[in-house]
Amino acid sequence: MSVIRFLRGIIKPYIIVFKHAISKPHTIKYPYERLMFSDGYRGRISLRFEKCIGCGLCSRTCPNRAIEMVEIEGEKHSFPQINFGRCSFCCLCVDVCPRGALFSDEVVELSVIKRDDLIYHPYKLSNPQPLESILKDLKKTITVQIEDGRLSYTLLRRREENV
Amino acid sequence: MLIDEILGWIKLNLKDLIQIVLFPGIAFILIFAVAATWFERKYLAHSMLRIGPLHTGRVAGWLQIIADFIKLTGKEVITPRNVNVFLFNLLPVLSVCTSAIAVAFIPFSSDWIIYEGNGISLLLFFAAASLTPYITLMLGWISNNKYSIIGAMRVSYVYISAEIPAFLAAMGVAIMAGSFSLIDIVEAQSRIPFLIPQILGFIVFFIAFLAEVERVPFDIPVAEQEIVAGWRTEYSGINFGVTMMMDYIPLCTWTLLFVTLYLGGYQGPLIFASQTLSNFFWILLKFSLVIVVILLFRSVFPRLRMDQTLRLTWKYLTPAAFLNLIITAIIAYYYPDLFGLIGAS
Repeated sequence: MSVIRFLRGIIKPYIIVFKHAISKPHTIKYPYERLMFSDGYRGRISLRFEKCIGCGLCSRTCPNRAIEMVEIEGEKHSFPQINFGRCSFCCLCVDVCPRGALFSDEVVELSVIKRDDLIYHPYKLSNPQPLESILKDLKKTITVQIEDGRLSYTLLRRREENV
Repeated sequence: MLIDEILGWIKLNLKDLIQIVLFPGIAFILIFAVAATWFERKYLAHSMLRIGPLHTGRVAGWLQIIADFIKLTGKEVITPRNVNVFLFNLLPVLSVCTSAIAVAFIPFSSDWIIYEGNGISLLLFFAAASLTPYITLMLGWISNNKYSIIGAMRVSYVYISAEIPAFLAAMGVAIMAGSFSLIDIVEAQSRIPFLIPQILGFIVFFIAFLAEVERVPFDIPVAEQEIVAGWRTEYSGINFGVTMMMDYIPLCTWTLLFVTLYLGGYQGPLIFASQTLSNFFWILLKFSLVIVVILLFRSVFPRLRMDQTLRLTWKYLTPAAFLNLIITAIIAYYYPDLFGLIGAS
């Protein structure tokens, strides 16, 4: 019996690893493929410009003081300006906004060359750059879902998704 | 005049030149070493559910190996203090040459072999392949480094203890074929490969030759976690690249011997118009399959300890090889007709 157990100990892991070798890898080719996160994901924060009433609750609730209310010429009230260098993406501002003017999406590609570029003026906040223009080589997106308590990945072609 | 003489000589020895320079010779071995390095990286990455080299060269990162080679040639070659500079730089090249000699005795077809060896090519193969550990031992010794000398001593330990069972197992095949010539051994397997009648010897030889080519689970001489890089610790730059290539050349020659002894060598049904091309196809196919099986060991099995390796080779493999040899000899002496049934002499 011990011989059989010994042989099993050699053959079984070999078969498992060989199955891995011919199956699809778990890592994704990031700039060309990207994981799309679930709906509640707290990523980049954007502004619906026409909904904002300038109450300043977001600025007051921000734990990192990343939000500053700035005046804009020709507008009656001030608007939030977010410094993403300070933001911790807690999204308290999104929760506290009485009009739903602030919202967060699943874009996390926020890196810039200059530190000042991380400060988003209300105009920039209200015109969020779409993912396709940030990742120009993106060919596939992979959505992450939770089904029966297990993570599952679905491959979708980006172009088909747009249609 | 001289040019005419040279051309005439080349024309006279064209087949030998092609064999030495191109197919079973230098070019084949070097291309195998490069391709195997790339394939191993990619294959092991997939076995760990990673992707591996990807960007360089569009298709599966195949240019990465070339890029690494260029990088290695551009690096500084550091020679440690208090070593013999001439030998220190000569030995890596010498190790590649000596380990590549053994491929000369492998038949790729009945008429395509660099040196037939007067009917003792099996013995000559073992003689040529046994040169490599001497070079490795000197290489580790001359580096003037404790990790190198430990690695070199481990090479000699593992090689000696694995060489004996491998040789004894191969002798079973030689008895069965009635010849030491590798061509005769392949011809004797025309009906059934020696894998089946020599199953015990097959297992022994497989484990022993894994130990001889320093593959996992027997990569004790270059165990990274214990002795930095074993006998190649002190080498840098292109010398390091050459010693890395040294890993794959014995793998190539020993796998070819394994295929020749147990899997029928170049035997196989005719698929091309030319018999020679068909033989090339079959031996390379078997060779590639064995390589694919062997390379995966690296991501499956842990490394054996030194004492475990010695216990395995001396306590189990050598008696098993002797048993195989004795059974084969008894059958060969008393019931020679049994060999006739399976096509051997």
